[in-house]
Amino acid sequence: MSVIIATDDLELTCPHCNGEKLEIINEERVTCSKCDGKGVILTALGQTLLHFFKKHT
Amino acid sequence: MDHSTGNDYIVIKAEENGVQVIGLTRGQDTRFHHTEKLDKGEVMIAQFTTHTSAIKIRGKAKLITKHGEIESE
Ligand SMILES: [Zn+2]
Repeated sequence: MSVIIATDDLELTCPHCNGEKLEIINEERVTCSKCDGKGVILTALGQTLLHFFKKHT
Repeated sequence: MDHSTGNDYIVIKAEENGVQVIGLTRGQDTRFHHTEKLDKGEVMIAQFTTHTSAIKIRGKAKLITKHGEIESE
């Protein structure tokens, strides 16, 4: 059995900043408030894997 | 348990590939804490919890809530 996980299954581009990690507030470029400047938002699978790796490293 | 969240849930059925379901945090700043991609025909049942106060849907999907049915585009 083979399992293939696509990047889309782990994280998706932030729709607020479109992956730019920044947003413009009062004509100033600041860290995107919706994704905390990550540019992506993790899926449940992404968070599960991340926690698993953190636990075992 | 926070009773204001109740056991409310919504049913989301994707009508196209790549529908995005985004959970927004409860509290003062509404960040996106979680996202999920649905392909055509896939169904997700999402609950409002102490962490999630709002759910945003991008793409074409059919939604069923206790208030009725609605379609997103
Ligand atoms: Zn963002």
